[in-house]
Amino acid sequence: MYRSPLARKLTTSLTAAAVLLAIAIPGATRASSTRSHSHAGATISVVYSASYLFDADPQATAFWGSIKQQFEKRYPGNHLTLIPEPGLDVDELNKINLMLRLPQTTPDVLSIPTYPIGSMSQSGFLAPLNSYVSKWSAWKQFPASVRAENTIGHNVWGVNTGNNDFGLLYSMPLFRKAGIKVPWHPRTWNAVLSALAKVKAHNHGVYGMQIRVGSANGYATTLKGIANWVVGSRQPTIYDYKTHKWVVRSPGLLDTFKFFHTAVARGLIGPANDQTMLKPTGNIVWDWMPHQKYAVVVGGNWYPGLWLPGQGGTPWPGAKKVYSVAPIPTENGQKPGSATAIGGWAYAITKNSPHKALAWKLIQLLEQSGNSIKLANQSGVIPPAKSDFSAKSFINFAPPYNAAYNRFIKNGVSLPNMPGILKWEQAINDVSGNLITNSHLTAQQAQNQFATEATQLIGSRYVETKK
Amino acid sequence: MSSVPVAAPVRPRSRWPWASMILVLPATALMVIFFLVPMVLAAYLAFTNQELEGPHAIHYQIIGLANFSKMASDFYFKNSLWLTVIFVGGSAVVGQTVFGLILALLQERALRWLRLAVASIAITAWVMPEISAAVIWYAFGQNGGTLDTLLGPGHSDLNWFSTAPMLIVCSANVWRGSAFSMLIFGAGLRNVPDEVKESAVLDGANAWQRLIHIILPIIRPTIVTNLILVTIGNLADFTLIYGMTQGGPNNETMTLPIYMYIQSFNFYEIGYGTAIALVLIVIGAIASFLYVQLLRSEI
Repeated sequence: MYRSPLARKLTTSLTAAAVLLAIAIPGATRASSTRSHSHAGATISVVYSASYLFDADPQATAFWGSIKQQFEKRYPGNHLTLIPEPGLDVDELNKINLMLRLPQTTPDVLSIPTYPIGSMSQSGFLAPLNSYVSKWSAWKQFPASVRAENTIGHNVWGVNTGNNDFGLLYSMPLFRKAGIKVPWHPRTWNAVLSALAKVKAHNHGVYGMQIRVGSANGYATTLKGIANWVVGSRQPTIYDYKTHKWVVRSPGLLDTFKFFHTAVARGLIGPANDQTMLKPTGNIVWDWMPHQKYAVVVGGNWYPGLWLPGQGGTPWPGAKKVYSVAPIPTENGQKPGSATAIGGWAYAITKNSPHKALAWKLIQLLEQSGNSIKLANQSGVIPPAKSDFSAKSFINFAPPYNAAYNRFIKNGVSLPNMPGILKWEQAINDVSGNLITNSHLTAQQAQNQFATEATQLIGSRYVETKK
Repeated sequence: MSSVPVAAPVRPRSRWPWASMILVLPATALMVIFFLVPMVLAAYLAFTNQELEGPHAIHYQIIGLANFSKMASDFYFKNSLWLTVIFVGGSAVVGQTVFGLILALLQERALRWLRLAVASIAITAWVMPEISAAVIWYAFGQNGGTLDTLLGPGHSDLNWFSTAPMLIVCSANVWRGSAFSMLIFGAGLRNVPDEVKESAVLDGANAWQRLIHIILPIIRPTIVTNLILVTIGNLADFTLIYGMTQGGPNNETMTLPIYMYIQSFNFYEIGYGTAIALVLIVIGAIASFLYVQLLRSEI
């Protein structure tokens, strides 16, 4: 059949436009279209990280697939739509923040890191969960430090999924060789410094302490590194909830900077490159630790789990004979005796969700022991409920470390999940990076730099000095 | 004398060109939806305090020029602006241009197979997705990486990303972008008439003199075109730098596009981030204007 060139061009153009629309429309209406196909019950949706929280992507797929099955079996007629988001935690959050701008694209349940909870609640994106948790028996099983993580003022905005805490993973053979008694339990920051000096003196070629610093990897770096010192200092306030201001100058900050300056000046921290790098944890646990490159590694609760088979690296069954874990001491041994920053993930319900009661049922299902412990083991987090983190199926997953890290969490301090946290961490990461790379930077200079940078980023109206 | 009838001139039909309009409609619609609307919206957002998350996420206000006056006192911005000048100036305006010109000049005299081989390698680097180039250079420059191994017999433990991050990022960009300049200069050099070069040889000019006094003045319009394109192309470069360093360590590679991203998607300050983007567009426009003026004066 003959068609004129004009007709052919027209057909081509229209086909192209139709294809483009066909591609664009399902994406734009993904969340909204899922609501309409239920007849008997309702359809709710959950957004989660497909490639960040779990140690391996297939674990996330399997976990959420199983949750969908459990949910639809338990609540017949209702449907759960899974919305996996790839990328890092920040990528998931950016996507979610964009979805939340329109009611028709708003999902019902979010699985998100805890640090944006404050600013998301201030956006008006989240529903308070007070009425739900008050009638929920499992809530009392959460340690106060964990409940506080997603509670701002009098409102509970999220229910914790699991937490990370931190300790000092130290090499027992290197410590023994230096004449230091193991198990090691340093009571003060100075005790850490003197142990590092001794170990270095008796073990040629071994570096002292490995700690994450610098601006690479943002919030995660702060949490894994310098925040553990700030929260254990003699003035640990990071954010004043009464004045709603960020503390940019305090004796606690100054002493923290002093600790790092002293450690660097005395050569007790390894090469700056190792601390400021953009490398994954795998380098530390699968390469440096088996070779005992470092006497002490400031490590998260999930580090030892990575030595198990099937975690992506070379399994190290002999790890427990080499590295043990001690709590990070407070500055002068003051109460509560140990310090750790904690950060984790939470489930939240969106304000625009039309099915909040059903969404809460999904969260309860997710928080059931079997699901909570499975997620904890596969993601390297400590489950929030005491009954779960003391359960054998969790403790025995990475013995003896899980039990040890469990003990640290009760003294854990969540970094303030308030708007401005990411600016605070940017400023303190810059300073921690500078302290490690430049041994001439004094603690006072670091304090001045931090105050200037944090004030610049957060705004002078929202910062204060603490005595 | 018989008059020859002259045909009346055919007047153009004043009909509305419906067919043409329909043909350009899909493309126009796509341009409007995906280019014009976001551009106008972005320009608008630059004058608001909109956040991606936080108290001003949904309820935001027009704050006039506040975002721009904030830049004036923001040393992160000033630092980023300076780093952008170093990155674009060092790796694109100087690095890619000079290296591309050298490659193009050498290719003129090279054997055919060598010319093809070099061009293929250079173009492979150019057509490679930026994120792949970033990963390659990340592996190349970190401690224990190829560069470290080549430079430090044994194990120097040198991580170029902390020792000289801007240098490694600029080198990666030169490596990636030189092929583009090479292609442009190659075309320009083919337009230099052989007789001009031959008469210069007869006049006793050596190779250097021929390059400086004959070839470069002739290909000057090509040089300016190349400068415009590499400046605009590199001013907004994000993927390569972010993939290699995320703007770190200690913000030493945080050029304006990276800072814009950090403000918008890490600090959720969409309004401020968009204002930075607008400044970036203005810088690009000024640079292009200057180059075009330069080009005009040469033709």
